[in-house]
Amino acid sequence: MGKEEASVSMGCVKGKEGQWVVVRNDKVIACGDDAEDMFTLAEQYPEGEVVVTKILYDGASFY
Amino acid sequence: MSLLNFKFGYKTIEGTNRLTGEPFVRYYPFLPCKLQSGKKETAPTEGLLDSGSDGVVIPMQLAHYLGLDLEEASPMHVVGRAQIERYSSKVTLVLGRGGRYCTPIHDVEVSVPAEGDTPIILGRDPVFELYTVKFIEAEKRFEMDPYVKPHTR
Repeated sequence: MGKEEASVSMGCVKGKEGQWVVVRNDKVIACGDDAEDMFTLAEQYPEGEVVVTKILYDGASFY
Repeated sequence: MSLLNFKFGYKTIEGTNRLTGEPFVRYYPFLPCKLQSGKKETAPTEGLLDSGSDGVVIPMQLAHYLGLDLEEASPMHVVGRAQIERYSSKVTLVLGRGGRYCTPIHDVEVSVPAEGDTPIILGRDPVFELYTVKFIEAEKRFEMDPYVKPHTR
């Protein structure tokens, strides 16, 4: 997803264990499987406006 | 090192079970933080507090983003699974958000699994070494106070 700020619903978040999202002002503006892409996208916004995090799926397990 | 006390609510995730269609709500103790290498710093992000993890784990893509130098390390041992190949590196970890950040914690060893897409996991070293962490599960929140060694006579 590019920089345009379309709101992304959780329903479109897909992935094996969850998905990385960029949240700007409490709105998810991008989601993807690649954390590198999401952190790169977040560089375009002021630090105080964005958070990059991962939405975990129910039942996802990690190490 | 200047460590701050923190109080955060669990992250709330609402969704729909893809098999049953039933709505669900899950809560996770994510700690706001930033990661730095000598080359880059992440945007504000969050790590999953996990007392069952020996240390910090980050996904390979984040290691690439930070430009970390990766060294081969002994495989990770995962309950119920075969060993997972991994690499190790070091980062600087900054805990907090919104302009309220602790002093950067330098030379934090991170494990980078060769497979899978882990969230950022903040385990015992260094977070639980430096902080007394209290999970108030019934209220879906956690508190962290800098560890103070008790006086001994």
